[in-house]
Amino acid sequence: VAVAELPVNQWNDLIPILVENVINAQSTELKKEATLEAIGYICQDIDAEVLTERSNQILTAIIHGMRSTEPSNHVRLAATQALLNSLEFTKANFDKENERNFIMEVVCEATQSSDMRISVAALQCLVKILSLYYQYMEPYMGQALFPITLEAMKSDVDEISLQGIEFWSNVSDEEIDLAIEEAEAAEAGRPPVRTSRFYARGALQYLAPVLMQKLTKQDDTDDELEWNPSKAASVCLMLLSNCCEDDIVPHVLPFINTNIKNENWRYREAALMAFGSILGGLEAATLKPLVEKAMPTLIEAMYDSSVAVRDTAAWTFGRICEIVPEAAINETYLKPLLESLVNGLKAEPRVAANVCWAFTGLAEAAYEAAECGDSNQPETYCMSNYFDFIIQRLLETTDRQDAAQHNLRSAAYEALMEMVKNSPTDCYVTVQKTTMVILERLQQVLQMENHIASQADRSQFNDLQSLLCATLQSVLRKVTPEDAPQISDTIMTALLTMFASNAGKAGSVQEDALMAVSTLAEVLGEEFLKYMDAFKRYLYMGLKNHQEYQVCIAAVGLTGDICRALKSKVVPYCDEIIVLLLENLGDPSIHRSVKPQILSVFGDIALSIGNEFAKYFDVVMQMLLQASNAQVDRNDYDMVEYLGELRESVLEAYTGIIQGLKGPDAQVRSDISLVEPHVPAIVNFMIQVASEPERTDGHMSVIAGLMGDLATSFGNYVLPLLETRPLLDMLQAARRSRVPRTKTLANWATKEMRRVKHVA
Amino acid sequence: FEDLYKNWGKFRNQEERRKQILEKQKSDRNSNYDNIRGILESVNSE
Repeated sequence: VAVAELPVNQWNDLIPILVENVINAQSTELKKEATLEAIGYICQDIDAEVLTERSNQILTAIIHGMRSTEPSNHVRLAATQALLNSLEFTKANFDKENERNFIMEVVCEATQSSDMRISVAALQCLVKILSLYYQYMEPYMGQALFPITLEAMKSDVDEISLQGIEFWSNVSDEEIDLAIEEAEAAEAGRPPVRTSRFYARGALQYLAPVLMQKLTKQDDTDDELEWNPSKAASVCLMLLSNCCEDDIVPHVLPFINTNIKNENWRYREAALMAFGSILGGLEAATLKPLVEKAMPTLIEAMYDSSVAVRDTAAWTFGRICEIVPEAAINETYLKPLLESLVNGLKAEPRVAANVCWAFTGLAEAAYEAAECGDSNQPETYCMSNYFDFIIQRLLETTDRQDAAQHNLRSAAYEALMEMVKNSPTDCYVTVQKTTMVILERLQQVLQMENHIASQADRSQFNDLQSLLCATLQSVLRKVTPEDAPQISDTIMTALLTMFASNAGKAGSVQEDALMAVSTLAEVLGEEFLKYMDAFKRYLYMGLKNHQEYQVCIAAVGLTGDICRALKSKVVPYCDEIIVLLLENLGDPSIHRSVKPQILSVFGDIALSIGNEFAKYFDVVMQMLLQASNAQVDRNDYDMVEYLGELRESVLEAYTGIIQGLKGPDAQVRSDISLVEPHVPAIVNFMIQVASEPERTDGHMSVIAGLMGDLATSFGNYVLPLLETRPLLDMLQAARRSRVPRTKTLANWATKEMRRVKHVA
Repeated sequence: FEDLYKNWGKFRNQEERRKQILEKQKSDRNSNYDNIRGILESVNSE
């Protein structure tokens, strides 16, 4: 009730009543506890701004309940948990040194409570205070926070140890962000707003031994959902490595060397885990020799008697492929590595799933390392000889009886997709074979529809269809233009059956099936037309699916793909498509992320159908002008990002409309005159976006392109509008962009404007 | 930080596919526009 009423200035005496309940010496223990719990719940759920003005009162009650002199642990616990929920809106209190000192003293004191629940809640407070008020922590770090959290990390009580580790994970994470902010500030030639105090680097020598000791306390059971200090320690080491870079090596390497061959599997696994965890932060010069030296031992670990060791070894290979692939892809180690990984595909699901991930990284790295020559696809690569064998083993893995465990089925299909996506020309026969296997499986799955007995079966059945559609996308992208028409009928028949089936009604299946159609349309081009009459009802169904907005986005994106594929042949379908898109834009309940996609697709339609777009021009233009005026709360980061996306889409739509009406040839078509009355409004919008502090590189590139398009289409008439300070300044900035396309567009627009001037 | 442990947050699935297809669609759209501008080759060669 408070969460509903306080924001609208009702029940104004509530907080004073609650405070009185806590500080009144006559209140019973139960009353104090219940009141503090109520305060905690209110703080947890209410918008922080509502309570900012009342933070003094609320803190008074909470701190009163948290004091070490409070006789009841129930009251202390409720107060500490309430503090945890109130930290976001107590900034004003943290800004004042004396109040901050008092809060910190009470919290630190509470961490020492003999009641584990109070101690854990107080440690949680420290973790959150560190994240929210990092810049104020210096006076407390050496004397209090460091010793308290280090002792917590060492604790045998998991809940306490987890909070100690979490504290240092947060410190590292915060300091990684600060390092990025400082680098950005240095690049921009300004001082950083906040600076790092390098607490993680300073504490590293004390933290690393405790973390490694925790790594050896693995869970005996293979519970994939259980979070424990051993797992948290590996993540903390990972973050410390990213934060402290090479400095971490001398603190961890001796542990790895001593324990990697220890007779106790816990130490072998911990050593491997430490090794895999620190890779991400190391400099290339340290990393490569370190990994190369370790390769034989790591490969050996893939055959370890312990499943946990094999699991972590496979994961470590995934990390290596991601971070330092050149150490794995070399003549000495590639063959034994592939053998060990293929062998690992037959192991327990947790091991096999990590092996799949390693294949995913390996495929990408091997493809990138291959020589491309003049074409955009390499002829061969270092895995060509093994490609067919690996694909067959991955296909078998997707079919394993236990593939539902540890995400193995998904992992195997993901690896398969990545292998196909990153395959060179000499592996094409296997890609063809795989395409046929996937098609066969899709047809088999469709026949299973009537045999589904339970909800769990239904869920697995839907997941499988999604994965098959996704795999179909990746194989289709590799199929040659000659082969595509030969298999397209079978593919489209299967997809249409899927849309018509019960599974096709499930959002996730529908979405992946629409994405598969997108790829097919792209591959077939104008030949996709023959499927339009049978398919259009499912496209329109997707466009009308406002509830499952991801399906709607997929359908909108597919509409754009179909326009690009069919070009002017899409005209007969445009009336209905435009009506549906406009309906979506006009629906206030539709998820906002659909709208920018729709605006961009107007550009695709206009470019595809050229002067046929004239009949939709007025209504679409009205929508674009309306979207140009959208405003959002500038304090809401998500909304600012959304506005940026919306504006980029409006500008993309203008681009498509202008190019479409102007026509593809040098001779400008008369239809462009439709746009002329709107040119001042379009340019004003471009100026507005170009002048925004939130202007992105994407904005610069689309505005630069549009400047060139306007100059080409309207000639000298438009130059005085374009040659204004904000646009010329932006064009100059775009010419210096790091994104090559933005640079090219800016140079092209500059030349077009000069050319037009010269002609005049 | 639980997603950072091993592959807990790594399997890309549908979310990643969504991202990839949107990127592909944007890049195809841009290529169409650059083609009309006559600069597609120089954009691709950068």
